[in-house]
Amino acid sequence: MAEPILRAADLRKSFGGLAAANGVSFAVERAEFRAIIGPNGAGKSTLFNLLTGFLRPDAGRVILEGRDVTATPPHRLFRQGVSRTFQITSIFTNLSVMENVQIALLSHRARLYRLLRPAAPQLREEARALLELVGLRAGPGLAASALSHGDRKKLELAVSLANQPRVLFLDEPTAGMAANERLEAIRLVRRIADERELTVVFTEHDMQVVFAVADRISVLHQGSIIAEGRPEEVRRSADVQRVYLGGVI
Amino acid sequence: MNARLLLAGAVAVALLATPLFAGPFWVFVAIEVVVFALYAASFNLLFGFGGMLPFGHAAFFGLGAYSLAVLVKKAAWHALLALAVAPVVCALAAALVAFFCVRLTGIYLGMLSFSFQMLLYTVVYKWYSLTGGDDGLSGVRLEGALGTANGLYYLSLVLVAAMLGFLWLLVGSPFGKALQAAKSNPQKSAAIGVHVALHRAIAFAIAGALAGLAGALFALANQSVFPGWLNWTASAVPIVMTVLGGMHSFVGPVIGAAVYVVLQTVLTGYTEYWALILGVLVIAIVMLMPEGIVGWFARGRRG
Repeated sequence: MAEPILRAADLRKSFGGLAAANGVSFAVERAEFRAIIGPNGAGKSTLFNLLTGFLRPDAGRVILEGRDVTATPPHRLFRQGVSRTFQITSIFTNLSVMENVQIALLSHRARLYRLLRPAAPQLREEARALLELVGLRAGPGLAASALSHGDRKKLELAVSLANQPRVLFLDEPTAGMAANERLEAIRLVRRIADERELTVVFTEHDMQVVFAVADRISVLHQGSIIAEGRPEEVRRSADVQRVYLGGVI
Repeated sequence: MNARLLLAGAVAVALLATPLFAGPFWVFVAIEVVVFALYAASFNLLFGFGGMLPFGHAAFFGLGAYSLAVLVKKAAWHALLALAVAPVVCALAAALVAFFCVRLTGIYLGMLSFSFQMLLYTVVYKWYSLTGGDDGLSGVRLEGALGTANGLYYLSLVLVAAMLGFLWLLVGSPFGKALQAAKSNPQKSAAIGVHVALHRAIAFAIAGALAGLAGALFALANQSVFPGWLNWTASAVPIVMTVLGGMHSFVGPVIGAAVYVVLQTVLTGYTEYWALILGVLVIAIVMLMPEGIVGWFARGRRG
């Protein structure tokens, strides 16, 4: 089997006495669509922050395409083909829709230290193509703060695709959306990922969404992965049933 | 757009013609307006565009003034050479301060930059042999035609116009947009490859250099420097100017500086309690025009 594109080895992180990551190990194959699920407080956000350089683990390693990226800060991971979105939709509300995408594209092209040439005319076509890709129809000149919640999610997705990532982390990509929008939103991501052979790791609360698109699912509980497998395997797992108290699954 | 160009042209003509109709006193006031416009604009690069509130920005204004004065008086440098070097000194000092400041946010960044200013104030106040202590340094002159009131006015006008042009390009450049992105959401900025701390440090150094140039020009205009320029009250000046004019607009601090300087000059003629009137005015503006003078006019035009 080929080397997995992403591997976490025994990641540990404690806050005070609480072990938010208590020895997490898992591997993600290239072009896989992987869901990480678990009840609130299971450690999903901590794990995401460990994998994307926003937190430094107390112990353990993160291996990306065979390279150790454990201590690599987020801004450098972006250059190595890693991108992420946040649970709380994160866009630049003081910039326009177009500028949001442009700034990420400029960063990817290492143009952020150009002090005198206006940014406005640069990489507009590329930015427009990304906005089209995610289906954001709001005017590119519009202030990002004027967007609806759903459009903000689309904009953040467009921004996160600007570095042509090989691994994309999505922290609750459908949070805050109406039930009928969620499937549509995640299928859009899946389609883009398939077209670009993009590896996606995402967390999600809506089990319908998870089981509709995920190739594999990792179940996180109290800082450890307690089950992992294809959707039908996870659905049958007794451990998972117990954690979710026979709820939605 | 045409109305804007027309307005800009009219302002440029008025500024160029000022010495033709104004006496020496008002030419000095005009120098002060121009110099403080740069000072306030440099502050707003950090505040309005960078989302940082350094309470100690006067450190770089004062350091620029004292660098020039010391180089001219103690090292017998030509004033123009000292004028060129003073901003470099300030950029280096600002980079040093930034090294400690930029990882902090909010009140912590503000207080740390403020403590650097007080440190500098103490050094200047106590180091009598170099800085003249509480007397300051006088006789800081630029010889020749440029050193006359009109000469200094045109020198300041040209340098400040060039530096404001530079700042204008800067805030519209990829660097400036990334700085604004980091203001809005530092975490997301990092996630799209912005080295937030380094970006802010560079902005700090640029703002420090420009404040230093303003201070050095002000020293030449006054032909002296005083430790009061470094005292804690001095740091309120660019903040008040920026709030007065509007922090969300490029020209806001420039307008704010002009209004502040002219008001102060006029009010001082009537009462020694000018600061009281200015204070009431600032309160009124914050309450009635939270976006400052420029923001208020922009809103009026939109209806």
